[in-house]
Amino acid sequence: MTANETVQEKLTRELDATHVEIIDNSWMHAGHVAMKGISATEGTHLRVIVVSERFNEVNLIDRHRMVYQALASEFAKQLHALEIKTFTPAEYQNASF
Amino acid sequence: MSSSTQSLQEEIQNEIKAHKILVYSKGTKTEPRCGFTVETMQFFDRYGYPYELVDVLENPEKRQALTEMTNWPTLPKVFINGQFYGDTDILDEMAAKGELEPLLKTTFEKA
Repeated sequence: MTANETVQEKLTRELDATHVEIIDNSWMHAGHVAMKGISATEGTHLRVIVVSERFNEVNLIDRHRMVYQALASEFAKQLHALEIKTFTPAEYQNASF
Repeated sequence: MSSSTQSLQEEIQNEIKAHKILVYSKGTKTEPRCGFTVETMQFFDRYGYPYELVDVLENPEKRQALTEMTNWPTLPKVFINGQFYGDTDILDEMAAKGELEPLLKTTFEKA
């Protein structure tokens, strides 16, 4: 399983996500100062969209904490930066992109 | 809790109190060293209120103390009026909902 597949799997399993999208922006940051000594070329800078019923009635900061928590072990490995968008299924249906 | 952790937490509390908008960042205003730090600066530049950056890139102990205090693993970390507001992912959504402008307004009214 690639690093990003693991991220997908963890978000789906640990947050009961009904939809997960991952956009890998790692190439934009390769070689920047914080990336010294890290050889990974994927999975370091991600944008994720997570849709889960579990976000219902949860404020934004805590939703993001839930996502960070689900990916704690990925942060200990290759993951360095995460841009997060969270939706409940109802919010996602009404979202405009 | 070790005494150095405690003094770091005090240092952070004092910084948060001293600045109405405080960003713990990677790099400084003149030399930002992370794209997200730049993004956060651009975000606040749009509003015109003064904000301060504290560079913690090369201070792992303080970064750790901040992570523990906020239960939030990444930088930058934004504090407004002493409250933690995460990063521009949160602020962008607050701005889109029209929640940010009133918050900044009341924050800076209480001079």
